[in-house]
Amino acid sequence: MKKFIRNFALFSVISISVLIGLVYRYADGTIDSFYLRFTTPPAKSLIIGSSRPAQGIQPHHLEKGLEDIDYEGPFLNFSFTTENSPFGPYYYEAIKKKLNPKAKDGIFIIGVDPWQFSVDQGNKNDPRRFREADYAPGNMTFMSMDPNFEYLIKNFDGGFREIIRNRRDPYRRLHKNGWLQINIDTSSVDLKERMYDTAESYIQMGNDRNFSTVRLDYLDKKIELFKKHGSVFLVLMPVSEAVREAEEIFIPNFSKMMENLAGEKGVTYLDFTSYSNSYLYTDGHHLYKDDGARFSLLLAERLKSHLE
Amino acid sequence: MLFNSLPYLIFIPIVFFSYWYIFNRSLKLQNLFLIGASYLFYGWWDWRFLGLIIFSSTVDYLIGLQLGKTEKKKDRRSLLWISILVNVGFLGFFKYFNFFVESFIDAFSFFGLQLHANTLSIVLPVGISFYTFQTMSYTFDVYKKRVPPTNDVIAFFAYVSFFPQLVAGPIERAERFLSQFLEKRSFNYGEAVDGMRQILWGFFKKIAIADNCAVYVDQIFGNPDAYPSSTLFLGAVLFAFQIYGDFSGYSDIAIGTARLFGFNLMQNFAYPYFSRDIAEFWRRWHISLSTWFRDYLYIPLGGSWGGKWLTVRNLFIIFIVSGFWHGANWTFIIWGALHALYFLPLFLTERNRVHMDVVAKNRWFPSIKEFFQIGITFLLTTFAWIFFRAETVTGAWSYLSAIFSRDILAYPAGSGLTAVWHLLLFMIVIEWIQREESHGLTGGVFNNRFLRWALYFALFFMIMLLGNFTGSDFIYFQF
Repeated sequence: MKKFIRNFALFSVISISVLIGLVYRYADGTIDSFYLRFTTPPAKSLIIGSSRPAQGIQPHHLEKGLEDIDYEGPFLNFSFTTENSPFGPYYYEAIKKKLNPKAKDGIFIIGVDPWQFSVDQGNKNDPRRFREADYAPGNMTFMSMDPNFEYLIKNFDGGFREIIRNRRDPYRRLHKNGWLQINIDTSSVDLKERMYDTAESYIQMGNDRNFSTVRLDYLDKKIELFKKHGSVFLVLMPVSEAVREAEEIFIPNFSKMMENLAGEKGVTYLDFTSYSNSYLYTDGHHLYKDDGARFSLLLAERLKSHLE
Repeated sequence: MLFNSLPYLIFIPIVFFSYWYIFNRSLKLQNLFLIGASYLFYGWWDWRFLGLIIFSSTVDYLIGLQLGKTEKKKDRRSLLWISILVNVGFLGFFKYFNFFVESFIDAFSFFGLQLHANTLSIVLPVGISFYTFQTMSYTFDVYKKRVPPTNDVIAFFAYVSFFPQLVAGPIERAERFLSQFLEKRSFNYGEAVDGMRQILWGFFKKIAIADNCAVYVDQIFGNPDAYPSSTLFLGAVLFAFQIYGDFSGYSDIAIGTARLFGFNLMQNFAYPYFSRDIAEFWRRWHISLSTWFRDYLYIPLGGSWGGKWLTVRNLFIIFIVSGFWHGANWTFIIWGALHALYFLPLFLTERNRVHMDVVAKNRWFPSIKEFFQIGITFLLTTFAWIFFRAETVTGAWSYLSAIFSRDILAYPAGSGLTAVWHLLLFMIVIEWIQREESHGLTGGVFNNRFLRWALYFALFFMIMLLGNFTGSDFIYFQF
């Protein structure tokens, strides 16, 4: 038996070490849109929300704008998508694990939009049937492991082969700080089409989904959690007029609702929807990377005015 | 629990070490532990259906005891029928109820009569066809006095539920398998190492071969109208390898795992795609099922002793029942019937037992004749697999029509298949070299330690880097 265990252990240690080495070497921000966020250590300042902050808030620009401020950085953009990280128990548990418990003076930016409170029709408040239950970050146990085999096994479709081949995706790169850089040419004729399609799809989504009070409760919980570790900001990012109108149909006076909530919880609410026409979008609701940089600097300026 | 899943990766070392280090003090304790582990393994999928296994085991255990007490032919026959009714009843309800209701309605509507009957939303318990056949074989054997009834309830329950082969076989017999639960087992280094090799080979066939083929097969069978006939043909060939990699891979993992625990399961696949005719194919494909049908259906029906035409009838019955065993769908019945038709000329010309030995024995390569025989047999099985894979008979028929009616010489679609072809070639070469051995990684070829370890690492990295980890089920779980 001892010989068997020794030989098997030898085989396992060598092969798994080589595999870990290969994955560590090749798994980077080009493999998909989420992986790197599960490899970084727990953060003291976080940006959370859907794909809007994931693509539109760039931590390095935010940090540049907040240079004069004393806070516990660096920022990690831990936002995903409306499908993966709407407010709810799964995202809340993931954030708890990704938040450095030692943080005392962090900055927490919560990107809010109506779809973060949406559930499929017929499932208003049953978290077991929430759409994000089986996907990252909801299905993850280990949020900060490098390489993160749990993520690769559960959520990465391509297999180890795709990691090793490391095909560079010219359109997408996830940075170590969590910012998802999308390289789309906004001058192309496709842009108009994409913007139209997004607005249409949001109108349709508004018909297919309901507002969930459970999700609202979990935003409340997140605010309470973050308040123990620093300053909290609810941020409504700019989107195109067409998207804003579609969202207004789904939850009328959404901005007012968030403002009231922020007031109740004693945190700051920043509404940037009046800047809608000041930015370029890749599809109507995701900021183009250069405009995301400008927006991040503007956001830093506004944060600064509240923190000073 | 799937063999290719994270929970199993945690489950198996815990069970292995507990079995040999904690529960090895007494045979009863070890068997009891195996029952617990097996029920956990099965219950991981759906614990509610554990009741079926327990009930089926209890019925056959008690019937076995009663058969041991009575010599009256009538009573013995009644006991046998109780076992058949209970086990086939379970199968009939869970697997075939809706099929019969729907077929009944279809038959009436054919004559212009509209019937309205509700089908039930029935979940098919994983592996039900396997463990019911295993428990029934015990009762048959006790009835026929091939084995004595066992008084050891723990050993019997462990025999029925033994986790490596519980959900997809090999379907074991009491005569050779139950006895292994009644004897003290000791760890055997050679067996365990060879078992690990067999597991490695099984994983290679499942993850690197079957699951990679599945990606293309699903695309092609999912939308056959979108492809030229050459691609449809390619899809059928890939499915032939998918199902072989999937099922023989499962069997290798099951047999290898059993060997780690000191058990010896029967060989389930003996390189069937190197068969020179359909009769040989069926001596090499899913051996535990085909011998089960031979012993418990074909022979009781009279086998080949009742004259030529009675034998033909019996042949058709076992092939069709074998097809129906795979699933409640006409596609499986046609698949079985096709194989019966393939077999028929061999039987009528008394050539069904020509190829009893391994092909090209003591030679490196087959003769040209053998090569063509292998090719034709493979094509015939591939043709039949189309019915096995299709969801409806109409679907299978239109797939076949499209193969023979469109541009067969067009370059087949399927970018990214290069890696799959290389993997298939690798598997075929290894299995050809090993065709006289019990599995792909055993025997004299691997006596050289350097070659052996190089192959282990090569296989491990082929699985990890070229395998498909979408966590797909084993096809035979659904049966």
